[in-house]
Amino acid sequence: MIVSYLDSSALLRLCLAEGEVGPVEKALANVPVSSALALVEVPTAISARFHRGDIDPQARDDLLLLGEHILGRVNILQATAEVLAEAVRVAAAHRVRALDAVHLGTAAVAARQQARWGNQLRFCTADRRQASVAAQLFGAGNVDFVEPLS
Amino acid sequence: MTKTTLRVPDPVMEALRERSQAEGRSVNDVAVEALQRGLGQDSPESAVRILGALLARAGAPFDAVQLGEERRRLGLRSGDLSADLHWVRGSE
Repeated sequence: MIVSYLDSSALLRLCLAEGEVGPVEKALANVPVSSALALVEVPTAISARFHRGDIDPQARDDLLLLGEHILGRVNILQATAEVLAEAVRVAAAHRVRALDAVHLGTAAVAARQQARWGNQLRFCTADRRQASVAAQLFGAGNVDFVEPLS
Repeated sequence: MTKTTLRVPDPVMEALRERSQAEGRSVNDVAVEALQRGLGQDSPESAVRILGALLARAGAPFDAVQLGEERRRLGLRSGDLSADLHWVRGSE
């Protein structure tokens, strides 16, 4: 059984339908999981487009609905004490930002849990730097990097 | 992972080896998968159950067709995802 961890960047890619979304859809068809952080990051990134003047209020509201729809398909994981401690360990060993560390720490804890039952965790992201660290943590073969548009 | 020794009937072992060769996987992988299936531990529901206290909220099944229809209905335009991420996470 494959469990797919989706970073907010991958969820946003699907929400905004920008570039290749096949790997994200494939990840969602497995057992999709993400950090509770995604519940804030996805709508915040959508709202950012409005604040930058890129979209009007109607488009923002439509996108927020779509984001909610997609997030409703994901199993949301809590930032438990174990997750936060893991995030700190990740940040100590790798050059990552705090929110990236929380995502990677959450995925690492979930991966350990699933491995005890013979399940495998794959990590899906559209963030190149995060993908690079994820490859070191989970193995390059277990990371799905969704290529940028350009 | 735990290493263990099992007494397996010869026909079962033969079937495991045959499946292993046919699928190009190890006998161990095939056996573990068969055990998981037999114990009802091979479903998406079981993987979610394993998450235990880590799980804050279970997700509904994903339907790509439904999502595509929703997106078409909204007629969404493309933007700059990297700018969105920068807004959320800041620069290094």
